[in-house]
Amino acid sequence: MPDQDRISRRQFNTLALSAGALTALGQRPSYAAASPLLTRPIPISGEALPVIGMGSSITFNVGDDTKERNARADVLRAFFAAGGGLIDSSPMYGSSEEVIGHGLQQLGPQKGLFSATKVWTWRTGTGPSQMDKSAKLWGLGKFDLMQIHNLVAWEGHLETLLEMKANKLIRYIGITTSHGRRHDDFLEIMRTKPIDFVQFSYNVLNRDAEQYLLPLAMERQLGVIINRPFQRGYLFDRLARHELPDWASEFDCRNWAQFLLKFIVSYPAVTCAIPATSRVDHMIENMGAARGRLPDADMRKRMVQYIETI
Amino acid sequence: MLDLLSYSFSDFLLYSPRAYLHQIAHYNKAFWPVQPAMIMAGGVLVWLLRQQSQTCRRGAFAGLALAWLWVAYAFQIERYAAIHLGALAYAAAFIIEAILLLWFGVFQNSIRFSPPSHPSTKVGLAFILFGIFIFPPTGLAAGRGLAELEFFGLMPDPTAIVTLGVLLMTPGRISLFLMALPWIWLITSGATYWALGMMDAYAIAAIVIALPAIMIWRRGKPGNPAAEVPPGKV
Repeated sequence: MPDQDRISRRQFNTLALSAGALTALGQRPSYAAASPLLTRPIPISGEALPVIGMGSSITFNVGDDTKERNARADVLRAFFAAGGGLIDSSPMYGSSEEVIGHGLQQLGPQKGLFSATKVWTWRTGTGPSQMDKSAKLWGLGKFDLMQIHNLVAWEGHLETLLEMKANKLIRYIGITTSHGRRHDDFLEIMRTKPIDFVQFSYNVLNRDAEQYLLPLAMERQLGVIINRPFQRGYLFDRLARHELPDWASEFDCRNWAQFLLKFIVSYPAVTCAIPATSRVDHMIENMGAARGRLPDADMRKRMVQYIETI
Repeated sequence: MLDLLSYSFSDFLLYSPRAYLHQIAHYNKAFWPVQPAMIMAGGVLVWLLRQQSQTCRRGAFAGLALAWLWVAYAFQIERYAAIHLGALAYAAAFIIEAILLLWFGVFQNSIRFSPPSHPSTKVGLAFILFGIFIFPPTGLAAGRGLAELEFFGLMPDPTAIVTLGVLLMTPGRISLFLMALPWIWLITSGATYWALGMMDAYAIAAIVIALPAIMIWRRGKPGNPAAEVPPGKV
């Protein structure tokens, strides 16, 4: 973990740029934006990754609608301005990869970008061409992280990815699941295969991952990406009519999005959470979870108790 | 491929209602003013069906087949597939239905119609009129904008409803066979709207539930014209 009490020149510059960008977007930077960006090291390399990334399922699947594509480019701009790094997508997400590519082309090269997508095809032989197509859609030469989506044809794809990593065509290999799909296979791969990242669902109401997945990821020194942190919006629907508790300010939390995200990224094994949004104001709220204090173990218990009672 | 069994229907719906409606709005804009022309074409279809001429009825089936082909290409492949991978499979099903309509309704000319006074003819006509004239504005009640309404011959749902209406006018097993894909489409469409939380699901669900009920009612109706059709012709 980086020293969060000290601020480096680089961090200071990032913060200054972020605050400037937020102001330019018509948003007032919060007090938490004055604190350094929270990052976690990728276990295998030590490379620092901002704890809040960005998912693109549904929100970036807008087809060829120019107005909507430009609106997503604004979301990406806000993401990078606030210090965001990891963007996650998949060929399964319709036009999302193409729309990300459109946004990245508008913004120009982003030094902080950590590109992550997936291979999702039942035929191992078509994996390389699918990954090439994804790279073209993003407008990138290569991806930082390539994941096997929901373990589809994972044996064959893993061989391909290991070869690609050896040839420096990708930097990290991961596997993903959602809804606990193929749970046993997932655990077995985590235990026995040379992967770098795992991605699965975890949130304040769905804490199954605390049983096996998160402890095993910590033991095996794997990077952990958490998808569906808001349970596809269900958690907001549930919390919308309730006030944020006063004590949330004790961990620099100003809204429900930050409450939910800070709960996730405060688990020590978690490297990064990837909320998805189609709105700039929501992106700024999300990225606010990557600054300020995080809840400690006692506070996490209090958060769970509170959520379960409302 | 067994992995597919671990997916739920909603796992494949990776777009928002807003993105879907935007696709329709752009599609409608691209083909304006075809929409009012299609309403008039629907009127022509009704006129053709009311004629006691096999040529006119073959023309009606040719028109329906053309509508299914158009929806497969212009909407499913060119629009919907941009946000939904399953649209390509839907397009294949629409092309198959178009071929079946052409084969049985135009080339084979093997579909007979019930007498105009028969109740199932009237129910079929009600379906057709609903699909052409009533279904589009129901979108407004579901919260859609004018640009996001769906019209017969351009969009899948009203095209399927009108096709079911035409087939309800015709007795026999071939009609039942031809009803399968439009009905399955409407189940898929209704389930999609339901999963996306769109009010449109209710109108589609009404049609999906009504159809088998009507088929059962029709079987028990005295003078079921199925019996009047020569064996081997239906």
